[in-house]
Amino acid sequence: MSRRRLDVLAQPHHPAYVVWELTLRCDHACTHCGSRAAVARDVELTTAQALRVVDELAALGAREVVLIGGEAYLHEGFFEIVAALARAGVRPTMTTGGKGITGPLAERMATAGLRLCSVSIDGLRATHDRMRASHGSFDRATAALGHLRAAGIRTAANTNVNRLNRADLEPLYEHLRAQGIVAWQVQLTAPLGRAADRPEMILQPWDLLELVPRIVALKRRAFADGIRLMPGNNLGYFGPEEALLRSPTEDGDDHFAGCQAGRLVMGIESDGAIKGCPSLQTHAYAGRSVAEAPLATIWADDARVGSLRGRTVEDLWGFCRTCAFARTCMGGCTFTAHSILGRPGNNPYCHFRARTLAAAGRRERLVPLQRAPGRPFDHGRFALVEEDLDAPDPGAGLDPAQRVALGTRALPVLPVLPGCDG
Amino acid sequence: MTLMACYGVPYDPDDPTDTDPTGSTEGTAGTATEESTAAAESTGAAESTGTAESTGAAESTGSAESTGAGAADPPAAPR
Ligand code: SF4
Ligand code: SF4
Repeated sequence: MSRRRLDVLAQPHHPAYVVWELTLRCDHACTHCGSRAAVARDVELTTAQALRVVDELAALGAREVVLIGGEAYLHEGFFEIVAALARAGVRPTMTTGGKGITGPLAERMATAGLRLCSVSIDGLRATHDRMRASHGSFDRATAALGHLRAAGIRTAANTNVNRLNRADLEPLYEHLRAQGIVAWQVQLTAPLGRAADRPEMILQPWDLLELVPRIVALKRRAFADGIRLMPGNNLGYFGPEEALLRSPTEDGDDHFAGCQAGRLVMGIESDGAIKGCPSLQTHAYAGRSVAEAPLATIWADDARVGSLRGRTVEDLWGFCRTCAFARTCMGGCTFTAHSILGRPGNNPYCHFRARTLAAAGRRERLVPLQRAPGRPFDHGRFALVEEDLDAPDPGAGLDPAQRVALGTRALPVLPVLPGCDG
Repeated sequence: MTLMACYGVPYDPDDPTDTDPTGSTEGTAGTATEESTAAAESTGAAESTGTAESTGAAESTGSAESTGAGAADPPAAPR
């Protein structure tokens, strides 16, 4: 049985699936990057510290660790850390922009013990390069898939969907299939980090009405091709094709079972700070650093790391509070909801919700209110306006350059106190 | 259920290198468990959408009707 299939309701809390940002240093500075990666944090874990963390992860029962950045391969200890994870029986995998992956680098990665690597490709050439703010990025990422495959590493792709790239999805699938990927993770661009500065880039909630069925159709196509299309946790929920969308097999009956942050998922920031999920807002959810305390202590006792464990339906609000799926879903993806409305528990990015509103001729529109302060994993805040389904769309008809232009400069900055979103 | 994270890698069930060293079995594996079924049922998915069909999980996850866009009538009730 594979490591990532768990009965999430029966498992005691442990960091089974870990995403570890080794460095914030990056060879991209993408327009939508949640961590605003480009340069390293002031203090990052050294190789020696990271190797200690590998042992601590193994002791806590970690099953798979995804190495990310920035770009994980820019950490001086990258190969050693991959090898140490593999030796410790923790499966090392990786998500990368792929820009610096050459043939020799891919071979070193395989030798170190990497068996699966996902390359982020967000659209066809023009769209991807615009979103990644890097001319030639698409070709480098595509070449990386080839180098990794040639080195014997299974290759996959990740795509963030937004208003800039949504039209590319079907031809992008053809491109990725031709590169020999085995799996494709498709998720929404949430207004986190640099994406929070670009409200015209992100989707409006009603966009899910046409987007989700297209992704379901692509998943059917992918099954036929032997490729697994898996939705990220912020793409859903509970539409008529929920089981197909979320199951890894065609006859599966999976459904979203609630955010696993701090339950079975854990994130590590490059300075060692522990979060329940790598995407969670640093100021609100980051606990102590593994440079200060044993990982087991932080995982067990840090209030921020465990802050999402004891939630009940009483913690939900707005539409989600009264939703028929509330107890199972718990308001969808925590970091996504938080990045829109400033706290979790009410998530406008939901297919069931959009369909329910649409059936009554209504929809919800996100209107930016406050801008993000400009730190890694930060967010601004939106107002939620309910209006007629056929009301004019103020964001329609913008060209790609306008979609990535900074659109929040005139807004007041969201005041951020540690652990509080005001 | 498959553990996923937005910075994570997609899941590949055919990966021969992805074996669980603990030897544990998937069991109910976060496909709909009794608990989650009961949770959704008790919240009344059917009433919430005003249709009788929506209580049928099989229909709601796979029927031709349920693929029709535009209405929120047949949510996939967790089983
Ligand atoms: S409305 Fe909220 S609780 Fe209901 S399915 Fe959607 S995200 Fe989940
Ligand atoms: S915050 Fe979102 S991506 Fe992270 S574990 Fe929760 S549902 Fe998954």
